[in-house]
Amino acid sequence: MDIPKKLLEEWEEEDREAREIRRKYADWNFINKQPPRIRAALIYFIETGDRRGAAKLAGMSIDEFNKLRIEANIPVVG
Amino acid sequence: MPVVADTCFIIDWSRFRRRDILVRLFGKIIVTQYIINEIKSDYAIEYVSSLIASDKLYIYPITSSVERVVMDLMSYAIRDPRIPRVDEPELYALALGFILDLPVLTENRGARRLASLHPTLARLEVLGAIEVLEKAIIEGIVDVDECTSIFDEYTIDTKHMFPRKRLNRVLENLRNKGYCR
Repeated sequence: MDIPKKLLEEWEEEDREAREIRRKYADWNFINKQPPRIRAALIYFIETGDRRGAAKLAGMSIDEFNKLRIEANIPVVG
Repeated sequence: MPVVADTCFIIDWSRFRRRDILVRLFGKIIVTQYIINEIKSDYAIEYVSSLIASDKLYIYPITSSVERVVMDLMSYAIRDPRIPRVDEPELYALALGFILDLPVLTENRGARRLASLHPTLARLEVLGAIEVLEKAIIEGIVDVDECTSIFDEYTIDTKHMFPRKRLNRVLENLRNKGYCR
């Protein structure tokens, strides 16, 4: 389906803003102290905002990962 | 009117101090079995249990007609590079919303964009927390004096932030219509 270019640009801008917010608020000390698999999952979440994918990477349920991302001070943006 | 909700929305919403707004606004929440299997935190378990106990949560069976819609949505999402990853639980929520002709609550970016792009879902109303709070203000469930603080409260309780432009647009719309001082 064709959608207005303006909407696509808006989505791109929202994605960029969301990524910057997650990077800015993240507790990098906490993240860097985590085991490699958990650290990778948190960084993946910061870069993509994909909670479910990050949970799978971490080997957790989505609810467990949500608790972890709150501990890491990473906001959901949307 | 009832509403369909996915897991992420319920997980976030369960932490909100004013989570009662959801039932006051929509009456009944429709979910799939996925939610019951996926919730693990005290907040979410307690919230979902209380909804079931008060007959406000309905677990919709995954039937072959739902699965057919899910397969179509999944096939479409995989082929369109503009759509970020969407997983099964979110696809089931969209499919239920489509079949039952009810709004869908999701924060999932992929699901929201799929709903914007898939021709079959053109009439489907997809809402996130920001739109739910906006509706609650318009419906008078949230007082006009709380129209900005309610968004802050949600952010504090759930660590969910709203994109600046979208929030400004919502607040401006509310002010223009006299729902916000």
